[in-house]
Amino acid sequence: MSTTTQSKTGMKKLAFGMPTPDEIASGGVHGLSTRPKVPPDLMSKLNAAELEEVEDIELPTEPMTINMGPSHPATHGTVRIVLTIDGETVRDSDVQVGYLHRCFEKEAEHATYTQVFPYTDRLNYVSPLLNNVGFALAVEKLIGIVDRLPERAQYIRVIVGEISRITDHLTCLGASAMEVGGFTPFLWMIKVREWLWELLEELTGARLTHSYVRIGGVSQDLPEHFIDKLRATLHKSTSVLTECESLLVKNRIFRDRMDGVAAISAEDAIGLGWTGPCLRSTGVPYDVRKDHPYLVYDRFEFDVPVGSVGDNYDRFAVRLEEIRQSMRILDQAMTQIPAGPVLLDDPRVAMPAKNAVYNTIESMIGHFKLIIDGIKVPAGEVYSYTEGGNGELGFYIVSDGTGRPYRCHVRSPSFIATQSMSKLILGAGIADIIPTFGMINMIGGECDR
Amino acid sequence: MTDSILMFLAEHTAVAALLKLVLLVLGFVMPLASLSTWAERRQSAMMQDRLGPNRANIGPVKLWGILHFVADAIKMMFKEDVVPAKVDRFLFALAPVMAIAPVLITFAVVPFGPDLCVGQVLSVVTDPTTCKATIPLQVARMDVGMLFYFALASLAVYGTTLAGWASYNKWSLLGGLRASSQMMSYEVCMGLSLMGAFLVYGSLEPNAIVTAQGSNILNWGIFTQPLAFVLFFTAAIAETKRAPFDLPEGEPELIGYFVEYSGMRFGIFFLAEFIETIFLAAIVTTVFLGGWQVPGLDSSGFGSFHLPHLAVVLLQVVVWSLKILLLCWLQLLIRWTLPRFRPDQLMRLGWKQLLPLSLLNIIITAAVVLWRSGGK
Amino acid sequence: MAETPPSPIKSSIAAALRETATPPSPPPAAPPAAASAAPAGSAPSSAPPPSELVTIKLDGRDVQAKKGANLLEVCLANGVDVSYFCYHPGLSSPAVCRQCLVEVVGQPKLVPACFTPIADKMEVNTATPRVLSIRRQILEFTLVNHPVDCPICDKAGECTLQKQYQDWDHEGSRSSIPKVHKPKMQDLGPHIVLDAERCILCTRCIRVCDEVAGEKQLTMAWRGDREQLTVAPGHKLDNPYSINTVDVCPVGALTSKDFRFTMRAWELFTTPSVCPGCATGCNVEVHHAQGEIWRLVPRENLQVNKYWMCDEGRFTYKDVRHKRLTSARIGGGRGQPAQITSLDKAVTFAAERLEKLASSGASIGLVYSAQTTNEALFALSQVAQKLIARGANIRSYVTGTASKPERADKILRSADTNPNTAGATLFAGAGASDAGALLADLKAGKLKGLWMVGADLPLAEQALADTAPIVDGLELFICQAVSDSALLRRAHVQLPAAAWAEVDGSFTNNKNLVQRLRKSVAPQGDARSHLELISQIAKKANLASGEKWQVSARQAFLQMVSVVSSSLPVGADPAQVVAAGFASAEWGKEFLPVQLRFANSRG
Repeated sequence: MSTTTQSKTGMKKLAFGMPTPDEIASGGVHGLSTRPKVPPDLMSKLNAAELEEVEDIELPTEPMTINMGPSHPATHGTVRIVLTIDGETVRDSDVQVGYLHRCFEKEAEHATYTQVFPYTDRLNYVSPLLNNVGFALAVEKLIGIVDRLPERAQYIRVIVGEISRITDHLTCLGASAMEVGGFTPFLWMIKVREWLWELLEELTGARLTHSYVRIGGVSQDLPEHFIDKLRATLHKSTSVLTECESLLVKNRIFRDRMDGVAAISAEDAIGLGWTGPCLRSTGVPYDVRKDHPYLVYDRFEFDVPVGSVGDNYDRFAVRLEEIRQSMRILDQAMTQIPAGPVLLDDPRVAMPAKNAVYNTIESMIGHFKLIIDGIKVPAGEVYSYTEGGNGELGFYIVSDGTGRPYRCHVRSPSFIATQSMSKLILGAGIADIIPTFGMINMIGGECDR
Repeated sequence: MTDSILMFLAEHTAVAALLKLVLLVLGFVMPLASLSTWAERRQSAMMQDRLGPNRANIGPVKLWGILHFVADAIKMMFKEDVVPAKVDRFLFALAPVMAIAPVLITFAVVPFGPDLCVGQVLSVVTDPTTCKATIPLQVARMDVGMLFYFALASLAVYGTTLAGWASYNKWSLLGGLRASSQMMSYEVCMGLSLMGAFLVYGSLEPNAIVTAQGSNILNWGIFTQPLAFVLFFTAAIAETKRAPFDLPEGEPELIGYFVEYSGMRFGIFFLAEFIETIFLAAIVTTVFLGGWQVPGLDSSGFGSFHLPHLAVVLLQVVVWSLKILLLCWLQLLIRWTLPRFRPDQLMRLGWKQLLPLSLLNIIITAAVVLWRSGGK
Repeated sequence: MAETPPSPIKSSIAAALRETATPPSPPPAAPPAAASAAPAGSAPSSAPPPSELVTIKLDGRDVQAKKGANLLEVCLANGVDVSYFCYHPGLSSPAVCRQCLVEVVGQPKLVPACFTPIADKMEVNTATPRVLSIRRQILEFTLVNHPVDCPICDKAGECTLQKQYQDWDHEGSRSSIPKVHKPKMQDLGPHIVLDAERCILCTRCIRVCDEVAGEKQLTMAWRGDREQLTVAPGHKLDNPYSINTVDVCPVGALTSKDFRFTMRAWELFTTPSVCPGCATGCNVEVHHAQGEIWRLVPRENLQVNKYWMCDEGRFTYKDVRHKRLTSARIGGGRGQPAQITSLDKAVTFAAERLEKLASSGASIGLVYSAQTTNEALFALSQVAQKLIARGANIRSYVTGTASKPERADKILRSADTNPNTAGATLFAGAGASDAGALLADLKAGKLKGLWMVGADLPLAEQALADTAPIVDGLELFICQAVSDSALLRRAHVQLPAAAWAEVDGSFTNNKNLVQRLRKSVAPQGDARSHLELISQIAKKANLASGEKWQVSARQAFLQMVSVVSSSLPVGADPAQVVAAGFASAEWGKEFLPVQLRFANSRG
């Protein structure tokens, strides 16, 4: 098989119309690879370190350009990485996102504020409720009803949010184990996720796309015995988690694959705009829940786990510990949760009771207008941020006073972390790309929006 | 009647060899390989709290889903055989054959039972050497049996490498490269780790090794050569390209050297992997677990408890099968427990850790053998 | 269409609708009335002398307005949201709904803003707790007997009552007594159905009849909570402007028989256009959805139709739907049936014959229909010049549908039922004849060829069928028509033309205002605009290619304006008066259809 074909002019074009490595290195190919080049000093440092190890290479080698994704079992259609590899070593890479672009922001402009919730479900689709909560808080901040939210609704939001965070981290950790070949821990973690999703299904009616949160509260109260079931599930989950941990954390092969791979310094991470578990893995204890508490997070005791070197293992360990901390928060929230309404009693925001809708013209009109026109949000703009599964999940909304957002932008943590992929995998092996990618936890829905 | 048939076989060794080969391959290896595809999925399902394949049935016969391998075979037979454009058609077609043929041929040297004494099958045989005619339960008995095995095993690498090369796909090429480097590296370690056993048992002929181990369990390779057992088992798993050494496949990374194969061509690669598993178990059994030997069972029976010759032989064949099953199962457990190595880590393990240890093993064994033999 | 909260989207829609409602700028010279008129919705162009301006304090800020101006209008003009039902800018203010009560400092009681003239140094508060509370209480009263009808009400989605409730009240019901029931589905006249329960007694409809149509046909009967709207004894609500009552009705009490239960209001899209019903050219919004037009409603234009239009004009959309010619046919004439063919083949056929006929020096008649747009007529006049250059003997005729003197009134309705008589007359040129001369020439066999842009003749259906054989003597008869007719069926080339709602272009009304039509729906079948058909024939007949007017309707318009204003100096001649309307005409902005769900309430 030939990887290159010689054209008449002497310029080498790789198969499938790929740019040549020279073109990639010089940035001379427009359109495909116009991202800024790697700083030369970084490249030379890296080469020096690499060359020391492989100094006795005799045969001249030639880099090969290869497409990882979008049709690839590990990228499954969400991303494309154009790799320039030298043997198994990544010399250059171009991470191309956008394969899951669904015009979330544009769609939101055409939907009433309530109708946006189903779209947010599909942002980070492994923790949809965190997106629900984030969007609801942004709109509520714009309306100015954040302080008036019913206590019980706030606690329920914390509970479902933390359950979602656990499912998010479980998916990420499980997938990372699978990506280095450990299939069993993945399924154990997915089993736990399934228990939690069954609970959420009981609560929201949907296993994945919950659309549970409403502006002004949540759509319905916790079902009977939910708290007891959650307690029991968390108890079960803890033991499974310990098993998974013993299968991975003390496993020499797993540690060899994760330790020291794709490390990043705290300065670089901050410079790249990282947040969430990825940033915390570099030792920066930034957690929106702790630093800018929202809902009732200031009433809970929990720790913010941090890593030290910012490698894949740190990202793994931070997430693992965060699951435990989320369970701690859940424990406290389940004890503290008060009785009361779960939706703000304000006809401008909350839908009237069905009985009243069918029997009084006032509620009928209110219902009609909330459905057709949407919740009228005062003109203005807002940036509201919460701690999502992957970091600071921000919603920037501009309202023109109508029932639909004039502009809605998502600061999606995955997108910001994904931009550093090229930097992280430079000089790593092909085998390291996928675990690194997994620990960055790029969620296509959230990244591409 | 029975005796005359056996006598005919004892005199016409070529016919006997053919018959044994057919019996061994069609009656044991292929069914076991097929079954282990089911066993692997069922085993992994058990480990992962899943149900696994349990639906395939023929009418009311369900058998815990064992019939899935039949369904699989039918599916693979009838799937479209896609040959991508620009592949090297000859090599593309040759590669699966190159992968499966060597592993099947090497079964020729595996002894699956003691020599059968013709004419005394129903009486007690105290000394097999006194038999007037014997049928060895081994397809081909050759003095360089183990070398034959190594020679053929190193041929198997061509199957994967050719598949990777011929597919006209960069990913499969990478997989083929990984496969060739990995298999060649670990063959060195495999060969060297068996040296100790050869020194101890004084032969390269598998049946001789088994016979030398005897029915005394403490004389088996696993006790006389414990380090070699670990080294060989590890290296041999690497040779079969299964987790944690499944780098040529490396599902989330490379998809593997057989990425462009479909239908039964892929099925052959798949089957070859499982046959390699069984073969690995057979070699480990032969060298380290006493082959067909049953602890305490001599050719006449358990000590003073005499048994007819046929019963003894059957018992030994059954125990040999059980040992192989046990080792196959052990490999499944490892497969579903451990993550995968990275290529550089794999090389480091092979060349920097396993190889020095196997050399050390040879030196120590040689020294001990020299010392026990009184320096002669 | 008073847009209360100042939201960018809504106000931009409203502004766009209003902006296009007025011809971009009025003609500078004749007629004097049009010239001095200011664009609708803005203050009079000549500012009143300073002595007439007074300053009032409106919610704490100083606002200047004309002395004696309506307080409610001042509030709305300054972006202060005051709710109201009974006030309408085109009607008198009776102050019956009490919804616009505001606080005037110094007055013990709240005053209705719509009934209060402003005076100097007046201090008005519209958002004090007292005002808001009263506003809510009035709404509560209004809603006490209102039926729970929204799901089945035609007004739902564009209902002012719904809007005011959601903006100002949003409290639940406190009443547990049964609602007073009144008759539903009362037939008031040929076009209107009344649901008395939904009526909030604002009397807007009564005033529309009294003040706009000039016929006192509606009145209130009974008192208290049994008061209800009814027709005056011995009357029917049958004046030609009756459907305006539906437009002004803030609730769904009055509904149009034509529109009710056909489409939900919020699913409609609106495109501003002009009514093709008569020479007045009332500005309309075309409400369409799913590729069909569902209703026409008047669009505010103080120069032409103010806020109103006649019932007949509202039904002009039906011609777009029915009896359409949707595919080209060739080979007809002399009683032979024509064959359906592709548009391209038909155009080629026409062009080849036309070219041959023109170069033979035969006399060809060109018909300028007053039902078609200025752009198409201008294109035809350009082609006519080319034909003359080829040696053809060209005779021009202006035709149109029959005049109906009985429909003329002093309000909006005009006797001329063609929307573009002025334009057709202008482009046919000074020597053009009328439809009668056309028929006479045909009968006398003076014409060898005839090219009709719009098959409109002032004949009734039967008369047309009887007259049609006179075209059989023609060597070539090209007919571009919107709908099927006896005349069309005798043409050699029958080309399907797009209807008025399917094209971009302009009409010139009887006040010589050039008003813009906008494409609302896609043409049916193979139909193309007259302009495009003319352009294609001219191109294939080697008469014109790459001309500016062949590019698009907009380019045709721009060329037309420059040609007309340069060739005809403004003066007293009738053609020059029409030309004056063109001189300053502008194409206006493009307008994407807006879904009515973004437009909030109407009425």
